[in-house]
Amino acid sequence: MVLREQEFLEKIEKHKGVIFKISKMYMDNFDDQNDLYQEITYQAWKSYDEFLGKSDFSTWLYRTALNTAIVFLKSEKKRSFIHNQSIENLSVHHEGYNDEDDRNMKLMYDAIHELSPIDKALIFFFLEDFTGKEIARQLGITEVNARVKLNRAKAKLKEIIEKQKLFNLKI
Amino acid sequence: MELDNFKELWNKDNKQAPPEISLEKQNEIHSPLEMIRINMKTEFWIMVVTLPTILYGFPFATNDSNIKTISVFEVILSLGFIFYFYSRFIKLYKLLTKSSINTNYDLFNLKTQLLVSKEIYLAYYISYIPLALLMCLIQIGFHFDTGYHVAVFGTSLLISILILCFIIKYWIYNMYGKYIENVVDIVDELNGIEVKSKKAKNNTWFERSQRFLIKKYGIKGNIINTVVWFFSCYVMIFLSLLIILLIVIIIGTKLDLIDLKILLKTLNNLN
Repeated sequence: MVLREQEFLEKIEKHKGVIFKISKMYMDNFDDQNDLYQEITYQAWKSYDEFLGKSDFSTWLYRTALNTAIVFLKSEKKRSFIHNQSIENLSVHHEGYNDEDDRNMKLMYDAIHELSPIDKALIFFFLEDFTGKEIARQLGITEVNARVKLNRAKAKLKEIIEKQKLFNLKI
Repeated sequence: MELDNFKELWNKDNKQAPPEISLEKQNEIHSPLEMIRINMKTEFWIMVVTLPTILYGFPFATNDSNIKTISVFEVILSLGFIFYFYSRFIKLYKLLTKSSINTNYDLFNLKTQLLVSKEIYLAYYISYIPLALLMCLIQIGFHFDTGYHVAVFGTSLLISILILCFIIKYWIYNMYGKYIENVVDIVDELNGIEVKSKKAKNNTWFERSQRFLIKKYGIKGNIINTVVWFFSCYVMIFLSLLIILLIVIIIGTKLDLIDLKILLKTLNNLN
């Protein structure tokens, strides 16, 4: 059991960043993001025995992560306080980043938060450069359906960005 | 900012170090399936405690052998319903514990199981209506011609039906309905079925206390909330109906519409 746990933790190490980015796509405050991140790793660990190695570990892990995120129930917390905290977290400066990136990244996640859980999953696949065929396999739908859904999700996201731009111009 | 810039930003977003992984299950509820499972477990134990109290209503001590035989038959029938329903209930609980949601097929299968189980659940409570009718008939010894038997029969049946309506409308929705809707909407959206936009409902007192207790005590908080609401609703329904009945009897007696002596005699002679 300990060996198996060790093996799992080693495998998941490489993908921690992507899992956390999925959490950020689905949750809008740091505490919820952390909760979702822990829930994804727990669900992946729980069903790790079902992973037979027929597909890539990353493919299996992303599917588990997205399915967990799609049905994840938000916890009720004091939004205003946590929201401030998450903005503070975003504004920590590191080498290679600038304020412009920070602002844009916040705008990107804000726009993604407006989407439905399934659309968020589709946008994740788009951002991770999955092909239509791979998306179809991941979601268990036909390739044509996957492409149609992805285009719709992208159109919705564009619409949200336009609205955000208008809103920002007004203020 | 365009969508293509998103890819660039997405790839750049690695400045925040992910939190430490903990493979221990937290004392929190994070999915509608978990919520359904916990509520099922809570309901099962509530029923283990409350169902035997129904037996108290059966007149086994009566001298009338007909009433005794009919009561025995009704008990057997009720136990049959209960046994069938809880065997399905446990089967669904096991399925929810084991099932994975890793593919669209898993989710679709789960949606079907949940919808079928919801209908069985409804049918189970509706099946109590004819049983309640029979029990009310047993109470008055199948005679409508004496004293206030019709009134007693009508009132008992009304109380039973009101409790069942309450269970069907509020209990099922708050315990399972809203979480099943959650799963169904996701599966429908994934499969291209149009999801009707629902009006945002105001938070009920049940939901408010649930959130407060979950925040404070985690999973245990949800169990406490369910148990407290179940028993307080049970007591409230009985108390309010009792008060209404007393008011009706007092006003009826004052206006000479009810003969208190005959009413008391009728109540004393009930099975």
